[in-house]
Amino acid sequence: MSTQISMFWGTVTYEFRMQLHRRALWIVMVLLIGLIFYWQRESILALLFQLRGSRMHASLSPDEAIVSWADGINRLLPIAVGILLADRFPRDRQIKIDELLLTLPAGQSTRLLGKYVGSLCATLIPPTLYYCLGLGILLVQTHSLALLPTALLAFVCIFLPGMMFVGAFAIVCPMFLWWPIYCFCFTAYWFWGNLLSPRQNIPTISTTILTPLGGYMSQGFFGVPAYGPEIQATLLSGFASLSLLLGLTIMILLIGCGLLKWQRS
Amino acid sequence: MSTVDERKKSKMEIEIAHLTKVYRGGVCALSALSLTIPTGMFGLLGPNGAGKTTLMRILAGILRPSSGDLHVGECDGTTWQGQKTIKQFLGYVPQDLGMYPDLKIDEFLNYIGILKGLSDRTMRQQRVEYLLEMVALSQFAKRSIRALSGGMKRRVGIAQALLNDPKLLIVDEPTAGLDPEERIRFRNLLSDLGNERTVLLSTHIVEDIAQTCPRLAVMKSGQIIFQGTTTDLVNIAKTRVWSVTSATRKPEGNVIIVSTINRGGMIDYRIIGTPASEAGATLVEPTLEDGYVWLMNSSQGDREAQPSHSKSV
Repeated sequence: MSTQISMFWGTVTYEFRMQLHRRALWIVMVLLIGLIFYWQRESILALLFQLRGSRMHASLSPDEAIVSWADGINRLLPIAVGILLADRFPRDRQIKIDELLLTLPAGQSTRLLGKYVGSLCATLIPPTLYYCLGLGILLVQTHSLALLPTALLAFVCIFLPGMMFVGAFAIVCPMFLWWPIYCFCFTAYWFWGNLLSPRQNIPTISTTILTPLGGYMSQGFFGVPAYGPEIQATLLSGFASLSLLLGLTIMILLIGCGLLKWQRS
Repeated sequence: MSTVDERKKSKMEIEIAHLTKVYRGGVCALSALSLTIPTGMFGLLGPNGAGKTTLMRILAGILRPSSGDLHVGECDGTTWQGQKTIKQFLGYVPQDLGMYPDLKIDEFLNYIGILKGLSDRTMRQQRVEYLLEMVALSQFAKRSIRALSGGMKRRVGIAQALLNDPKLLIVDEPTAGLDPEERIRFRNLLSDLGNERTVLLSTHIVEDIAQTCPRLAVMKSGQIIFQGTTTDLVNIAKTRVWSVTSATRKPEGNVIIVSTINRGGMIDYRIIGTPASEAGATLVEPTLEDGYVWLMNSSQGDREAQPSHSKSV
């Protein structure tokens, strides 16, 4: 058992390191963050610098501002996270190391889970730094650390579940789907299933508890309506959404492990 | 007595009986193959497509056979549990070895060491350093794998295979694409390793086997067509290899031309078989390659059948 844990942590460490050293990770994230900032500069600056008296966020307290900041990050950055993780599993086949890995005592499931944790953690570093940048700006303005617990809670309840959900699908789905196709389908899903308003008269799941945007947690836990399609969330529906996202994350990873066993048999 | 028992236990004999592998689509890669591989260096020779890599992959636990028996030491290689146990004492160098290009050599070896179950960090580090020294890569330990030459990659490949001090080392086409110096260095390294363990060397390069393996098997179309010592294979072509010097025409008769050296006006032919006329033909000592060529040709029909036409190989 301890050997399996050591193998798991070894995989986490090296997958983290390899993903973190990947230039594409930083280029894509910086470009996307730059584009988002350019398109939404007014609202972002208003959110971070005009806590009171601004036109758009006049009523936001610092706590609400940090929750909105987490909501904003979860709006588009998960697309980059999904795309940057999609090639992690097929890459082993592309660089032809999978044959060697199959002859090692480390189980495929151990490696899959290690790859998921390691590469997801590395991929989340740029969005986390971006989140911390916003937090830092708010802390400087409020001259108080009272914001930190809310910031941590918002990070754990809004930011992480969606990213974990997206990451699990991005690691597992390319096991049976060509990863560029997955990236295309995933991006299309993101706009249709998360950002599309039902007012457009196109059937969408964007207002269901399945959305990884974090709107249900944002409104249910913090009382802050999220960006994107309007939803009416309660504390209970917030918990339901959180549980569903985490449950689906675990389920898809278990399916991935099962699929690997089935492929070998 | 206990020393004898320990020696017996450490022996890693491989017993293969009626092993068959049929891929999806009905392609039969191995057909009721039976083979015994003793401890030490053992060569597996055969043309491309003979089924060598399939056999290696089954032995390494990558593939499962369709039917037949496979025992590596006391482990049943046809079961999941058996394959899992075999992986504990296996070192494998695949034909087309891939590595993570973003890692440095020592990082890659450290990672593979972890996946091989070497959980003690200090011991793993020492093992990596020892193996880097062994394959003469110590000074390149911090070099990125992306920047390595083919020969260096092969050496990293052998180092990763030895991380767990395997009792069974499987090396598939290790010298393909290497320059002559690297090839010799690699062969010497493998020979050293064969003293203490079973080393299965699969290749279609006869010279690699001739220089390293006292025993070998020859595969063709998923079957073993020869098993024995290298001397046995050489002797197959005894009294059948001739040197013929001719100014114009190719040698006639039921012969296979294995080499042609043009010396200006005269051409030296090395042939296997029965020349039309023994005048001008000198009987020469066969090499392992001659034995292999004769075996491959004679196995096309009846094992004893003579090649029917003069042809080049």
